[in-house]
Amino acid sequence: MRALRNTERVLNNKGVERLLEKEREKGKALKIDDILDEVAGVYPRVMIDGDMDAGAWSCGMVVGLINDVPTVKELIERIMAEAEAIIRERLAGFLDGVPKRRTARAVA
Amino acid sequence: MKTAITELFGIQHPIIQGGMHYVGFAELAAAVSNAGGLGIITGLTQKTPELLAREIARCRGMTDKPFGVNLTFLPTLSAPPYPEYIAAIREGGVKIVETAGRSPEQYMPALKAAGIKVIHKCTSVRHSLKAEQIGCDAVSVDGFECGGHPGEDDMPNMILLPRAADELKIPFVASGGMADARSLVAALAMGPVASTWARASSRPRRRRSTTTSRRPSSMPPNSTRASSCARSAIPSAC
Repeated sequence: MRALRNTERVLNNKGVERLLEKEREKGKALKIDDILDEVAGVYPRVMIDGDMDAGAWSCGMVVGLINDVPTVKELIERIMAEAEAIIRERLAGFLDGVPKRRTARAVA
Repeated sequence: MKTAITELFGIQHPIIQGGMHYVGFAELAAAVSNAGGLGIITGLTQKTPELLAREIARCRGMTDKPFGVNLTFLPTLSAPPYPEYIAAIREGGVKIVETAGRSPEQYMPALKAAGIKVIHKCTSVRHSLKAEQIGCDAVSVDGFECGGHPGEDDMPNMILLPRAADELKIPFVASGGMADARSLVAALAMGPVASTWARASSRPRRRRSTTTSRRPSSMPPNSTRASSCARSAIPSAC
């Protein structure tokens, strides 16, 4: 939706493919009305009804780093524990000259 | 871990939940706040200011920790009544608002008069400086990795965060691409003092049997799912 100066990163799906096709056809002449079917009222259909192909819904590159479905509490506790381990062990280890064979991922 | 952001918002961990459309309900915000981060209710997911007031009250019933409300000013098909939404936030006793989309300048007097701390989401150094100048307490710097609206400058966080650190005086938060402990530590190294996480499940909620509840009421606040497989993780509605 760059032609509308309303660029949005979304997860690809059938609705998005339709939207991209319309963008290619219309180019800079694209109007919001041209893509209403793909952008209006999409969120409740995706988030509540589970219709993943309903249209364009915001989604970041971070999806490539998500591997599990913990609870919020588990996730935040894990992040903080691992962050402490990265700072205390991995980063300090570089200064102390202790070779770390483990990757950052393995501090968990 | 103590940073300028944990101090500013009175939270335990430098982790903020992004405002996510149709995901940032009271359950998720309360779960994040109960876990020591800052939960955020997505203001415009609530169709009216009255519904937002109810959502704030529901969240208040599930946590005694600070939580915030996201207010996004984007081109929408019908302009929401922002002053009434701000009134609902004020009357609900919420002290933190995350603004996004356009500059919140015209609403700053109302927000500050209510004693609300404002964190504005920006996709560039220039917008961040403007936010600082109009009195925002913090900014959330959103790199090109982010989902939703990454702005028109296409600047990723590896460049944007250090540049923001060189320019800004107010504390700022890294958003976009933030996934785990490595993201948090990397962000802290580059200048931000917290990270905004916007990974939440879009796993279809159980179809309701009544029309009164949008969400399964049996789910306790701290069991709200925080993240999910790649296919269903969604980012902030920045």
